[in-house]
Amino acid sequence: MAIEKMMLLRASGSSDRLNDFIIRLFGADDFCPEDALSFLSSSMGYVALNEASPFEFTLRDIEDTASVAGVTLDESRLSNVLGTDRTPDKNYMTRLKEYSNMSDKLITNVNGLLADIKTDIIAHNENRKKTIALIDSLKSKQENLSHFMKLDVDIDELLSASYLTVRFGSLPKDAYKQLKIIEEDGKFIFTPCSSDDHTIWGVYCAPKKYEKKVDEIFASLYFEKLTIDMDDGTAAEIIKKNADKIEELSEQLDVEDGIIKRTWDENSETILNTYSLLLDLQEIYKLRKYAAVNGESFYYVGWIPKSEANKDKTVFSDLDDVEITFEPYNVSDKKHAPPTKLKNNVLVRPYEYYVKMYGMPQYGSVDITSFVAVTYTLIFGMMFGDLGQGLVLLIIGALIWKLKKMELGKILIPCGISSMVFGLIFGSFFGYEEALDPLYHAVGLKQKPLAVMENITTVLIFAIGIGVALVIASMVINVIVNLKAHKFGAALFDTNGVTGIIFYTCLVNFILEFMAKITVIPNNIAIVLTAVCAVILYMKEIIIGLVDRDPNWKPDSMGDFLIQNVFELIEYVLSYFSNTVSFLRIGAFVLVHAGMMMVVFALGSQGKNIPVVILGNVLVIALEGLLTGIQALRLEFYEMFSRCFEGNGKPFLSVSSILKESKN
Amino acid sequence: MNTAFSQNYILAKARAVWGKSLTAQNYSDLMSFHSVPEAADYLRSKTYYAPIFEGFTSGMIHRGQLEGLLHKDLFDKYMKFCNFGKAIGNNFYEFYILKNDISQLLQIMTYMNSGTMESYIYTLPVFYEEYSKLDLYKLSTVRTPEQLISALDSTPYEKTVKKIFSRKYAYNFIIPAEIEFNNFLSEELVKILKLKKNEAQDNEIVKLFTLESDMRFLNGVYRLITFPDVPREFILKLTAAENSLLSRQTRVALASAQTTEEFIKILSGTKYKKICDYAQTADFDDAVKRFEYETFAKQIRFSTDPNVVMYTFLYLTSNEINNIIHIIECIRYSLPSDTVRPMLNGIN
Repeated sequence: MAIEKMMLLRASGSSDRLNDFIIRLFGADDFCPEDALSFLSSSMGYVALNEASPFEFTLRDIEDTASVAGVTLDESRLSNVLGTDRTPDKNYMTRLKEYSNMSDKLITNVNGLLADIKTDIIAHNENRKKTIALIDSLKSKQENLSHFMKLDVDIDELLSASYLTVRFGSLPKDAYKQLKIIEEDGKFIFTPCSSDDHTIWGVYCAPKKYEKKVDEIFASLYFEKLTIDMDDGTAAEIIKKNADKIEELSEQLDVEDGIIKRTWDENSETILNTYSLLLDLQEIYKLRKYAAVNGESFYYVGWIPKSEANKDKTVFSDLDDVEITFEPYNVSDKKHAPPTKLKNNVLVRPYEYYVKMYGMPQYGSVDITSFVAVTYTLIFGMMFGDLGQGLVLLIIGALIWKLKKMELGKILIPCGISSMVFGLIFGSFFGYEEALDPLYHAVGLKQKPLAVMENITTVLIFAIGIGVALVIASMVINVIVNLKAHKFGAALFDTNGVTGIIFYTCLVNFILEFMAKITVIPNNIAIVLTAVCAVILYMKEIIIGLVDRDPNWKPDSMGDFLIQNVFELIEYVLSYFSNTVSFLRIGAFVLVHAGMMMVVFALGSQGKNIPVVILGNVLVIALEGLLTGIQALRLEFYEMFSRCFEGNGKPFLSVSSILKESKN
Repeated sequence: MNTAFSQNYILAKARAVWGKSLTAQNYSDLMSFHSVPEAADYLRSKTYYAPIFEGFTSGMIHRGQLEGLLHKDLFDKYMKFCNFGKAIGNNFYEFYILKNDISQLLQIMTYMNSGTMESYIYTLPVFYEEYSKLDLYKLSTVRTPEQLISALDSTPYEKTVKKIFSRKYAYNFIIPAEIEFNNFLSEELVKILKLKKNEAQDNEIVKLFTLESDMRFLNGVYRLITFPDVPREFILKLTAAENSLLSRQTRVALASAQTTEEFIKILSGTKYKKICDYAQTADFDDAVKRFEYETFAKQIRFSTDPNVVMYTFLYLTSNEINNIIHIIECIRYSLPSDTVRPMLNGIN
């Protein structure tokens, strides 16, 4: 339950060996690359390696060819491993190493392969497009003609009339009545052929000498012309003819599709393998950007956990012409602090999720994950205390973890267990307050250890007590953190340091004496300690600056410093008070939970109405589970973390996680 | 059925529908388009006019068709209220039919006056035909006043039209026709509302109707004053309207004004003096329209009479449609939006 110790790996060699080195990083498993240039002096002549991937164009070419072929590059058929969840096997990695060093030759070969396939596919695709266009055109003509099926006149003869103007089209149904009146003038004839709710399709004929006038009349009635091509036969006959032609063209289309698919299928294995290989080679290039180069040589830097160092030495052992060194972290090198990798056992590891949510601890600092694991679980259990509901939560957590692989599932399991334990203490089983009485009697207890609703004050006082304990614990952790960081001044004299602990304890002592006449520290001593601590806290910036040898220990303006720190001191006291009182919510939620179950039982005829009780429990589990989880987390973040945890560490990002992130 | 409840329904529903009316932003957006299909698309997707486009694609719609659809939509909306009102014994819808019929008759007479009666068939509102007391298709075939009177046989309008054509007019007969029809509508309104003569002048709808009539009078007189060749006697004929919120003396004084300045001075001493304030920064026509709009907008918000609310709803929605048509026409003829903005009534 700590932060992994890190070793710095430095690698340098000939530039043409860089890919070999990078490929071995994947075998090294836990390697966090750093920007190599930042580890070098500018006088050494190294520059960052900014290059475009030579595979990008070829990859896009393959994708375009697949798109033209109407094929999707199925991810499940790909065999690339880097940046995915697939495990690389030895043979594959060997092949990858070979190809990584002959990228030009590889690209030429791939392009040659693609060129042959593309020529075939593109040619057939052009034919296909033409066929589709023809089909669409015929379908459009069918659509137009379909409105004139009733017309039993040869279209060709009609359209080639010398003395008549013929127009096919449609007009709004409303306008037809008006048309009937105008038609009485005798300048045209309109023959309706079909209609729907809004429109009538038909054809009008007028002598050529009235063409302009009649066209104007119909335009005023919003007549929309339809283009009908000259063709032998009536509308129905032409439609039949076109339907046959469409069928013929569709068959042609199927043939073209078949050829394209066959061409693709014959080569798909090769194409997909090549595509997968190129994807992996592309990933290698993503890691090259961390390197620094100086003409013919490269320089590469990264962190590996000390526990993996021996294994990694083996991985690089066959790289004779690449110089690789492992060195421990130099504490004085503040510029290149190592990343933080948390190391926790299986019970505590789920809670890293919450810690990472706030931030990573700094390298060399204290890992508070164990603290979170214990406190969060206890607080959750207290607020959710019910044996049956805790069991349900445990099952839900297990299912979420198994089926959905969610981190939250792993946290719900211990929280469920904790809830069950507190459920036993509070004597609650799915809201039934008497259900566990036989169990208590069996172990020699007269009744449940703590009846929540009958001991409200106890519950609340207990909650405050927990708050005091946790605030002090947080401050103790802060002292340890500062001592580890050699900040002795902060460890001793900060509001969350030794002085703060004493000051806080004395204040708690005064309140205990006032409220409950309980004296832990004798009054005289407490008063003196309080006064001394208040003065120290008032002057803490100066004292800490002097002790930690901060060159800027002296305040710019003494007057401002003195006045400002009066308010600061008041703020420290208020923050102690508010942080402590905030823990009252633990007690409040214990009572809320009990209260909600009382309501459920009141609605469920004191537990006799089983469906209501079940529904009530479901609601309470969902609602209270969510609220309790959030409130417990809030206490962790605001009341505890704020006193001992900064979260400004750098996370350890291994090579595989970097690649996965770049894919997303 | 609880009549009070039903009346309240009409009030609430009319106001709710009016609440969806176009905003200043909608108008601005419409004015920014460059083609009629674009404007139609906007009306379809962003306003409560979407249902009128059912069965049409925006690209298919002509300007004239769009205008027809808008008018039909207004008619359908109004008839829904009227049908509901009819079901609860409210016969105010009859006045709406009369008004529409008069509007058609005036249109026919205008075409007749200009000798272009054959064009009426193209503008005939087909959707309205089944509700009208007129046989609009038959009327589309008339060419002379005698044929018109014959086509109006056993309609409520026959007597009025006969009266109009019984006189000789030095100029066209449209203005006298408007006055006669106005008087006719005023009488019919009182009958439909079942008011006694002394009750009529205090009735809100009667007042609104009279206000509209006064606005036409003021506009008409003001325009005619600007034409120096129009004889004074002709202008005085406009004072023949039987209903007005102005006294006869005032109307005669207005009609007798020699100049527009004199006209404005006389008007500023009447209940319509606000129009004079508006006219200081706008055309008189626009000032009148603005005053009228504001009066109706106030009534739809505050009146508790469902007939008044329906009547004002009709006015305001017609106004909105006119605004949209102005915009569509400007788009169609590629006029800049600065040209259309002054024509729009009732937007900020």
